[in-house]
Amino acid sequence: MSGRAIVVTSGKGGVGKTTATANIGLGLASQGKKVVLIDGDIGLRNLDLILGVENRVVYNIVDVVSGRCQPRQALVKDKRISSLFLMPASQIDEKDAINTDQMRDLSAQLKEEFDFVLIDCPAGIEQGFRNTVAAADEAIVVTTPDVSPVRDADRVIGLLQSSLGEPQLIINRMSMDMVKRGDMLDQQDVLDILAVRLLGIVPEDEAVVIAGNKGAPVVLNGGSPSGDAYGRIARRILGEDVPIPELNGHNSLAKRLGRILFGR
Amino acid sequence: MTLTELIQRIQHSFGKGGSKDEAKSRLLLVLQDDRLGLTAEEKEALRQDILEAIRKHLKIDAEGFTMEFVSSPTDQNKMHVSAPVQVGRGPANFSK
Ligand SMILES: Nc1ncnc2c1ncn2[C@@H]1O[C@H](COP(=O)(O)OP(=O)(O)O)[C@@H](O)[C@H]1O
Ligand SMILES: [Mg+2]
Repeated sequence: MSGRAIVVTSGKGGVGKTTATANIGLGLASQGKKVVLIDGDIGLRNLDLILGVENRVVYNIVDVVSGRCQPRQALVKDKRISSLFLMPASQIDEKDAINTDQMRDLSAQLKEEFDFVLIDCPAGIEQGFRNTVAAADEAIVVTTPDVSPVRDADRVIGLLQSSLGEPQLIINRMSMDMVKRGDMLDQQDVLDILAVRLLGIVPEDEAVVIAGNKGAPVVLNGGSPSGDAYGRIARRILGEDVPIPELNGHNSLAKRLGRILFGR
Repeated sequence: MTLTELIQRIQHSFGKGGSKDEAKSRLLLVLQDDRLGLTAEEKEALRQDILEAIRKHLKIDAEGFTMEFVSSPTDQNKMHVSAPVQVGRGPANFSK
């Protein structure tokens, strides 16, 4: 078997890569796929915490590539969905504790056993970025609809085009209120600017913060707007044709009139 | 409510007139620059070459010569060159 290795990247930090990796991974696993998540953020380990498996981490990715343990010893199995595993990052090593060849080999090895290898990329475009990209076959770029993340996303897309080809885009933290007021770039604006394929839109949602507190990603509990969005994204990755709900700030005429006459 | 206020509200209700238009035009411009990846020296060399090329054929005012990159939703990725041509009597081309 040879699975698909997908890197989740952004350039800019703090836009939602780790959250996206956890939710997409759980989404794919709940569709019956065998999934391993690699925390590629060496030195700043977080994916274990977001997944809620931090207490069960024993070995990490640096132990694996330096031969201190076998890959299967380092893998942490998810308690909720048994086909999901995490390869934790090391919290104490430097970003360059792993080189590109080691990362590529590890990914190739994991692809033998898993349908999906999802790799959470660190912020920036240095060694950590190059490693995770080298280990992947495809890329997902995450951005928020703000000027700096979009600019950084463009840079990353440019870098990816020469290696992995055209990435797919997730626009995270979209606020419908702000879009309707004309104070936030909408999906069409972002696509006009970045000219890539849209994989999905995730709304701004308090549930993400609560999920982080609990170590239980939003996709696990249906009903939250962000969880549903990640569920749809997972199905799109599996090739299902799931429409992207229009989140372009279009109001009904009645609402518009009300707003014009009576303010917001 | 004044008329300008009303117009602003109408624009707003269509998602226009908010700060995102500014975000979009600024991004398009800065990304064009990022993507071109020309250094200041390279841009200056290009400017000089274009100026020279035009001057081979026309008499232009070097002071007023400008070259700039523009990009907007309607007018994407263009280089605008503006050269004030000095038109005298007789043919435009001249000998130096
Ligand atoms: N859709 C969302 N709505 C609200 N908050 C979000 C959303 N996505 C991410 N966040 C918050 O943004 C912060 C950064 O997310 P994270 O996934 O760690 O980003 P990255 O891995 O890119 O640095 C976290 O505190 C997270 O809770
Ligand atoms: Mg992260």
